[in-house]
Amino acid sequence: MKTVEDLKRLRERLQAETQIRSMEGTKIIIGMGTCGIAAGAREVMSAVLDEIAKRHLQDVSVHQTGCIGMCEKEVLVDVVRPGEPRITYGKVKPADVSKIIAEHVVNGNIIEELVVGKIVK
Amino acid sequence: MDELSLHLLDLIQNSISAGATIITVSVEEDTAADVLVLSIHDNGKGMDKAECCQVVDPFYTSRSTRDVGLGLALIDMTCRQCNGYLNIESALNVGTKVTAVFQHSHLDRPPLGNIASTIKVLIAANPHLEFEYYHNCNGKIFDFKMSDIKCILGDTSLNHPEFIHWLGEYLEENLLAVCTNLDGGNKDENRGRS
Repeated sequence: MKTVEDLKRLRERLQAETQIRSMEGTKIIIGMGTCGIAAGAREVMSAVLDEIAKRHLQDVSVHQTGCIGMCEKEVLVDVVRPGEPRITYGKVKPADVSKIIAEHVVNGNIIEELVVGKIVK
Repeated sequence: MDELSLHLLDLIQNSISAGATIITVSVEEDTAADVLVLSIHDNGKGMDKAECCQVVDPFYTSRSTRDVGLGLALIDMTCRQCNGYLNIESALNVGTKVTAVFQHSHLDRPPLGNIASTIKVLIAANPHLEFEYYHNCNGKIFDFKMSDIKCILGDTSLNHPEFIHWLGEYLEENLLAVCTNLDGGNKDENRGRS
């Protein structure tokens, strides 16, 4: 069974890598209001975290937000690549996550069929 | 919400919205006394008496995006369906403690569900929260404190993907060890989802 002591072995490498991670990278924001949670936001966010860990993505940060009033479109996931419009995906399922990460976060191609909103700064 | 761990995540979001920096969650399962008690204690901005009485009303909310707030209303309903009750104690500028009590064996009591996933997601988005999770299941105890993690890992790597991944597995294994042989244990993969 894993214990907190295991972390001592991870520590040096994680700290070294953390210094390279910049806050200027891509942001993924997940709706975590009551509506989002009831619609499955936890599973979606967990899938996002697993996918980022699996692909060793260094400059992606994951955030959460509350209810933005589009409850019927939950789970809502926003992707903000630096210098690009904020894209909101709606009715996201855990199965959509690997596609969103591979296509949009990594390669910059918006998945039009899942988009419910676009905000240009 | 079909898992108590989802209610938990929802109530913790309330605490975070209230500006809490310290959140302590405890789950106490006593099958001999047939009770399950879930409590969330935070140091957020708190509420006055009047607001405290209103919060379980689904048509009360402190936010402005819409006129309903279902989080506490939903768990209040679930408690009452399970021969239990919801208690809210709060003091302005001190914090809030929400306690939900259920009859452990009640047929309508949702399973605890995936507590590990709830905590993993919470820490990933709020790495600097002073978070503690205490679980006592018939005397078997699992006590998780973010302060212990910070002592080892320092402040900088708390949202590193590899740490978050480790955290998920660590919580899952340790919770499973505490909750074995109990209906509504930690693992919940066979439940149908729409």
